[in-house]
Amino acid sequence: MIRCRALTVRFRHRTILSDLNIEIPKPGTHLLLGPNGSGKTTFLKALLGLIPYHGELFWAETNLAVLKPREKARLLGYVPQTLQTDFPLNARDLVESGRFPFAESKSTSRENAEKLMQHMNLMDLADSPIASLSGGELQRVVMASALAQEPQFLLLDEPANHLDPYHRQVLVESLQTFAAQGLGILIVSHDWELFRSLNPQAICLRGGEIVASGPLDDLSAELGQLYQPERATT
Amino acid sequence: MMQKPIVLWLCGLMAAGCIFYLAIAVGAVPLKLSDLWVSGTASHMVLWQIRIPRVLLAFGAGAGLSLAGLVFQTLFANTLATPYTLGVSSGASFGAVLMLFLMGSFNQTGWGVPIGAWLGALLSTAIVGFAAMRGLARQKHAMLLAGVAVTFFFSSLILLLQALSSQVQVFQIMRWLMGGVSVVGYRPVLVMLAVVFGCAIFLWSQGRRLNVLLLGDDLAQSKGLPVQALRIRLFISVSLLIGAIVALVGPIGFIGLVIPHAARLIWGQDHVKLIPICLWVGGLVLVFCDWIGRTAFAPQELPVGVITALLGSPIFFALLLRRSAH
Repeated sequence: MIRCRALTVRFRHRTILSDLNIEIPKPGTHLLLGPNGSGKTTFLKALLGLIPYHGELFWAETNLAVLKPREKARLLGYVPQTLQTDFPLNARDLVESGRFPFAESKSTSRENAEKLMQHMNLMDLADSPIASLSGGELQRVVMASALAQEPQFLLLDEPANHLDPYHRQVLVESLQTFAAQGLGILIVSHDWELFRSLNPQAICLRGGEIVASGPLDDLSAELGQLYQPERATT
Repeated sequence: MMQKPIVLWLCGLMAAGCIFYLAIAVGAVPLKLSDLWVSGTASHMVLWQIRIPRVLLAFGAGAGLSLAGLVFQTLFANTLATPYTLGVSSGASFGAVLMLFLMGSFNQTGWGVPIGAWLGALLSTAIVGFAAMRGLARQKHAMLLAGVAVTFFFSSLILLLQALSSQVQVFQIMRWLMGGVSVVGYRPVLVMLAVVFGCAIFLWSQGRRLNVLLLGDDLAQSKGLPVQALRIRLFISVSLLIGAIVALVGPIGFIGLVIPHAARLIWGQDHVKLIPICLWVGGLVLVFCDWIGRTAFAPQELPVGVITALLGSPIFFALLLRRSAH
């Protein structure tokens, strides 16, 4: 279970997240919703320790701040919105990087990465440069890289962006499989309808604060208001 | 698939044998390698006191510059980032020239020039490192422009020192800035080789971490890589490397750009493999360039920095065009 206590993130005098207190249990699928600038991605980045924050973040009873980077990587797998690399890595390199948290030899890392790629039907893409992959293929490879970390929780930032309807459906089915295997899933997205079949718990953020949370199906009224312009709600 | 690396390594070894033979035996005065073992002759002295130290210096400098280029590319997540394009070589040059200015002439500076070069490299690395950590590294072209600004800044300071120097000093500075690997004796060469190969061993031990750093800061950190701590270690070792090389051979450009680029194209992105390859190929290329500089207009000698710039500038330009085409 991820727990945050009084989580606050400030950036240049602006408060992005304000005094967040929340528990995100595992197993389960969770959807982090909110308009642009509401602090969704910032929440993920704070969880991953990519940005400084005030307050406390826990995995069960362990404060995430005291974990070593590799220990944290074995808990949280991250699928970012975009990849920021200038280098012609191939799909195998990317999946293999997911074995970095484990103290294993390079050949064992490669073997484990290839096993996972076979399991996810990605071996055909193993030698393809990532720049040549389609949006859907790249996302599956990035997800395989995160799963290679054998995480307890998978954090996905806007995973359905740039996907066509077919690949959006493939994504949902994959997440359904992972959730059934006991993996915790936290998805940042605007598109709650797409993920409704996963029966997620929703956390609605607005202006850096939690304005509603609970089963997605129970939040129809709140969701209607969540994306209204600020003036309409005040 | 298995035979390709063996063939490449065999070609590499044969090329190395040819280049070392040319560099040692062929020059303004042709020498026989058999003279290596006949003491008391002029050839024996030239071979042991001039040619071999020079070849070792060129090899170590080329190896180190190529390695520094490889690490800078990864460190800044930018295939055009090298110590030369980001102004670190200029910073090291400024440090060396400042020492020369303060202490009179090269003959009187002792360890002053190497220490000045290293401090200059450290200062300029700190400047570009600060720029990168403030987010400039995410904007590829902005980082290169920051490098241009750093280069201009230190070049201006060098010009200022030249304007205030005596004529003899100005000549010495000009000649040094062209880059060259002429050396007599082994002491400075061995110190530089020790620094280059010490840094190389350390950087090779970081090879798998460098592979993960290729993913970009956020994703790399999410994989368990302590990005900031690694960056600091890499900055310190690369500035040490550059300072040690520039102190002895001056600013030699483009080796650090072209060799890592070519190595990545042929051997992929695994730093555990790339580091020894860049060391080997970078060393050989600089030995070869120096041999061209010594023999093309013999007995007149061209500084090796001129040769690498003449060969490297068009390649850099082509890379820029290729990049913008993408």
